[in-house]
Amino acid sequence: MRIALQAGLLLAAALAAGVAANTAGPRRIPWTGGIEARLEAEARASGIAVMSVAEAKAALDAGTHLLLDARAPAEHAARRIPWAMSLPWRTVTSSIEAIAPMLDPARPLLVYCRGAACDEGLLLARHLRARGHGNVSLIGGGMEAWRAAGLPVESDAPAGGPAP
Amino acid sequence: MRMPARPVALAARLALGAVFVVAAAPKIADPGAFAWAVARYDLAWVPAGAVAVFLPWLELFAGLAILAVPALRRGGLAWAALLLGGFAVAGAAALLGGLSIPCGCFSLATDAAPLGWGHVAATLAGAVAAAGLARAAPGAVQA
Repeated sequence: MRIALQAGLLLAAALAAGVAANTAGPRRIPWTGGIEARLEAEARASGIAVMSVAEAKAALDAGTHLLLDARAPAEHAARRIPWAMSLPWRTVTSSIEAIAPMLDPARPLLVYCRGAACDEGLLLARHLRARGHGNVSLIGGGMEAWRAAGLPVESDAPAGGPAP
Repeated sequence: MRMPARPVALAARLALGAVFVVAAAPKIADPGAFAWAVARYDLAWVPAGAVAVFLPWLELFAGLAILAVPALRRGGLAWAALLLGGFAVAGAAALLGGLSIPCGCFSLATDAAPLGWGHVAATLAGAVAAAGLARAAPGAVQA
């Protein structure tokens, strides 16, 4: 059998199995998109509010919230929302000790990640709630939405040039 | 292309097939988590939901064909080469874009070790091996 025909048969089998599993299976997911909406729905179901970038900016300007960056340290260093502290989700159990004294349970926390499809902010927010922080919010759309709104960013780059 | 020594080719083929079957299993079991793993690559042109629905089955069938279905083996190897090549490109794009994300290759855990250039190199090597095996397999049209 020609290789293209073999590959076509395998593709057809995969398409059929995928359609069957996602139509009749127990763990169906949206075919396209839906990732961002799912993240926000999961956040709200976990008792975590989702703020727009405008709401987040207002809260930060008012100084009411402590801002936490759930991304990796390299991403935080390259470009971040001003005043954000790095608390990477993937190393949260070790990183959180460094900033634990600043995590006043009475102070609202605001968490963000890379973009609307990044779930590490949600995971960090859930972790913080489990540690006893009752007021944790997410910035919807994360860093991408913040930049798209034209809001300022900062970086560890040497002074003299704006953050990219 | 010079045909690889038979034991080496057999070992490489079995390893490739096993890798695809093992990689497919957690993705089929939890397509929602796999959709997140795809979305983390920030590839705007890739519909994470559809990829999460179909790709694991293609991996599974390609792996099974490579391992146990001689009539479809070359097709499975061709898919292995294409998929691994695509994964290498996606991984390189993520790293060049400054992302620090889990690979999503075998484990869907969010705290898995981050993707690195070692992943990309190994994936690329797998793609080259799969392409070589597809060309060298019995029934292949010799160039």
